[in-house]
Amino acid sequence: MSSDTAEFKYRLTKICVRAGKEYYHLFPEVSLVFPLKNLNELDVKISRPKFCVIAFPDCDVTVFSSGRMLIEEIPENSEKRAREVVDIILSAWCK
Amino acid sequence: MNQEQIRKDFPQLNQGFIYFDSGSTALKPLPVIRAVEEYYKTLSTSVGRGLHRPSNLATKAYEEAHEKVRRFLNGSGDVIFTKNCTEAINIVSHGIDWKEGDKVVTTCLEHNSNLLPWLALRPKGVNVVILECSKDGSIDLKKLDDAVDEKTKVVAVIHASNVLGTIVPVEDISEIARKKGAMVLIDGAQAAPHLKVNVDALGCDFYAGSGHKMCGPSGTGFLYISKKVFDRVKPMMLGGGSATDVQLDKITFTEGPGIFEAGTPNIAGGIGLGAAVDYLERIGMNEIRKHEIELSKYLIDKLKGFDNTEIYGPDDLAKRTGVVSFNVDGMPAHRVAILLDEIGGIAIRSGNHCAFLLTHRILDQPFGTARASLYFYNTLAEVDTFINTLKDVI
Repeated sequence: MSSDTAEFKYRLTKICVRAGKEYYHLFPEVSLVFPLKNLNELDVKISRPKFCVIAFPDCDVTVFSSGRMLIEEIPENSEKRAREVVDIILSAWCK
Repeated sequence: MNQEQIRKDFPQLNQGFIYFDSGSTALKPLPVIRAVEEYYKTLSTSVGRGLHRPSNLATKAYEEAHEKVRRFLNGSGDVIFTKNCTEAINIVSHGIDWKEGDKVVTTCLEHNSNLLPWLALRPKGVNVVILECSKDGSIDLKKLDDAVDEKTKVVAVIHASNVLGTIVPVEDISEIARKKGAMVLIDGAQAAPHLKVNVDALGCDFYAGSGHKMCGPSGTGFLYISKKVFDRVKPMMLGGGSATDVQLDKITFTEGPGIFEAGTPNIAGGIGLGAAVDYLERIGMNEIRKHEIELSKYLIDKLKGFDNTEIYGPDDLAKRTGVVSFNVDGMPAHRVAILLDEIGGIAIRSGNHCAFLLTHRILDQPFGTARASLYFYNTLAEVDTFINTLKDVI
């Protein structure tokens, strides 16, 4: 399904469900241009020039400088929560 | 094998990414693309139905493609074209006259295509026995021998694992099954593209494969049926081409393998599959195998250099194909795959690979593995890029 969060258009796809956990893949329609360092106010576990991994209480999110994301092992049936997580990241990123 | 020339045959290799996902589907060489294009440009009519010249030419080309696949498999039985390996196996599982108490023996190594069609028979009272395999994909032949009995109608096994690359001793399994009077179906989706197959020597009754995994067009597959069991399977679908005469009280069905291809088939795809077989044979299956062993060895040796990586499948290269599954400690397989794609432009597959029993029960990896699957158009230099990118991201 496609979705709009502010002006960031993306496609969010549930890629698997297993053992009560889900993965979501976010693919941006147009790449972002904001530097990843803007995400420093979040709990960044891994930081590299082209990607970082952000920890949330219920999942990890791998975020690329293009805006592409992988939401990892979020509890089952959490599409709404996945979109909230995306919004939190985008709010911090696009400040 | 002139790899430089071979790579020129694959236009997609010029798109700037490394394709290590041939286990999902192989890239298509120009001769296959041209064969499909040529059909649509010059022969685009139905087959087996018209008296006009184009229909005769298309029929001849389509029938020749079947013959090419039969020769490629070294079989004395019949080949029918399907849309994929899954359909081929379903034709068998749906086509057998099952009785309550009949038995199917299969394994934890199977792809869903060779598991779900059998599990779906349980409501009919068919006993489906699923044998465990070891972590490297070995099947205990003694246990298989014990499991197969006089009630066993089918033994269904994969020829090469899509997760571990393990090459299964299907010839031994066929022998065990034959002694007990069971039919043998081999899922050759991951073997036929990579190994020289001789279905007569394997002694199997059915051999199913995916055309698209062996450089053929998408939407192509095949089912080989030996002469001795041909009458034990009824067609799953009936329609155009299934009958030579229909009256109110009597149907005269078509004789021969054509009855399994009801309706207008994927003619372009079938002709393209014939071109793919020609292409593979021009290179030589032994040459392809040799190159894949070299690539796999190089990749596995390099992966062993990481202290936080687990590699799955047999240690003996002679017992595996070019499928190399691995996991990185503390890093989900899906993350590894997306990192390689986004950072290095490298396409691999991640997850359970439609083999849930294997990844979950045997490997204890609920979210599966990262899988690089190599083919003859891949190079050692691409493996180096893969390894260097992996080093950068983990």
